[in-house]
Amino acid sequence: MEILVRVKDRVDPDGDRIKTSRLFQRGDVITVQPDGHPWSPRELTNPHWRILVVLDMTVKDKQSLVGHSIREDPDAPIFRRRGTKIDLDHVILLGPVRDALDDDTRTLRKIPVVLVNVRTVIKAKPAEIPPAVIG
Amino acid sequence: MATSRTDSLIGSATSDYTTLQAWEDDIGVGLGGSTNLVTDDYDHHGWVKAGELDQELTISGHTTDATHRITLQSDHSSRPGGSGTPTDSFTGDADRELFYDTTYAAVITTSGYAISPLIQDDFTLIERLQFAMSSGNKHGMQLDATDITVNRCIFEGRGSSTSSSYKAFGVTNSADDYIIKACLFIEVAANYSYLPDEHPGKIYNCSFARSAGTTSVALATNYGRPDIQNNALFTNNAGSNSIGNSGSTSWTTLDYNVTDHSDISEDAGEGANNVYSKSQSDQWTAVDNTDWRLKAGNDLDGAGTNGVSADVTEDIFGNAYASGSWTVGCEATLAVVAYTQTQFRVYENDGTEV
Repeated sequence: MEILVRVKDRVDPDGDRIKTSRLFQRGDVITVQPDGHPWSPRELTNPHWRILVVLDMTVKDKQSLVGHSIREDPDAPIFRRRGTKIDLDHVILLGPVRDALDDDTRTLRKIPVVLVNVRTVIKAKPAEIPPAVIG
Repeated sequence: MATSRTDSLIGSATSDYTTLQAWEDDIGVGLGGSTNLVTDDYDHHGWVKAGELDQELTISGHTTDATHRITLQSDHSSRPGGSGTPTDSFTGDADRELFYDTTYAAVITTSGYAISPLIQDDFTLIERLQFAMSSGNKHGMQLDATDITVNRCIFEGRGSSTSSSYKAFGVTNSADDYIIKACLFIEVAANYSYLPDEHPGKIYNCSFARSAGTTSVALATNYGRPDIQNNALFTNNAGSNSIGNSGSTSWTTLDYNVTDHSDISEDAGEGANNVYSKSQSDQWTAVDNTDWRLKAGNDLDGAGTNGVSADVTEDIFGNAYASGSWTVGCEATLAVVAYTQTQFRVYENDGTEV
């Protein structure tokens, strides 16, 4: 599968924590598409995004990456945009993968990521947002 | 209206974005300069190309107001420089056949436990789009902000669950002052649908119908009592009410609706102008979910009120409702039927034309 992931944090310009939590942050998966998806030029070049090609990803993995973080609070039932993220700073992401993740020019349009288990780099977010934490 | 606007094509390989969510995330980055559309003085418009997109979508995190907002709709000739009709929007279908048609712009949710699309930005406008929720534990469109408008859309619920958590359409406690108008809601499975919950809103000129499944309600309102007028509320005769609701709050405005039941709601407050005990199959062309166009001799024509005219300006195809004879449901008039005109010339015996 091919994963469009955000690599830069976003912050509400007015300092609203709820709105910030509802924006995509570094490591958040924007969308997952089948292998060979015909991404548009903007999707292939936007410096805020990367496309990871992961071969061993299951439907369950996909569902965990695109699911919301839901809190039992009627005033804010969807607390975060995503309940999990890809840990883009994980030590296992080395060499050409690390170079491509750090390259905002996106010379490598799609980044092949070979992992024994993709869940190694999937990280659950805390249920509550600490005041100083964005992603 | 904002001073500046962006218009983005979505959904095909030649579009600006192939995915709905990438477009949404780029608002305030590649599109405009900020997620605060008000101070940025921007409107952002997404135009979805023909074909069915199996994608999740959340619209959230932006600051908006009535004149600075996000709009998502099928590609259409109203796009600046656009010429999408009729190939991208179901509203341009030449035969006006009315059903969830993947030939045109459509969005489906197939991921388990997904909510899609989830609308959390105030004043978002969704128009001329089709949404389907596949079977299983999914929740289709959910409104979770204030002043959202859903206009001229088709929703098809295929859910097998009867849990209130999994609906083709839902409204949360955060959604005030929504308006849902000129939309077609079809249920094709056991799931009943639609959960406007607690907070005020308007449901005007929508058609609710069921081609399969036996659950009793067309519309579940939980504790909510939205303003419900000019709707066709049909369940294919399942159950005893059109609207399932909790609590015992009286209705403020539940009037000018047509139903196949002898009672719309078990609670008090139904208006005096509702029409009861009509047959679903008498209203639409083919209730097997192949064509929900109005049928000749239907009971919807003229049964509505023009009291909603400040909010409803056009039907699902963009046609005006007749002010003096307002039709109930999402279609204002019968489709114009082509006919052959035969002319005769009459001559006297001397060859003079009469």
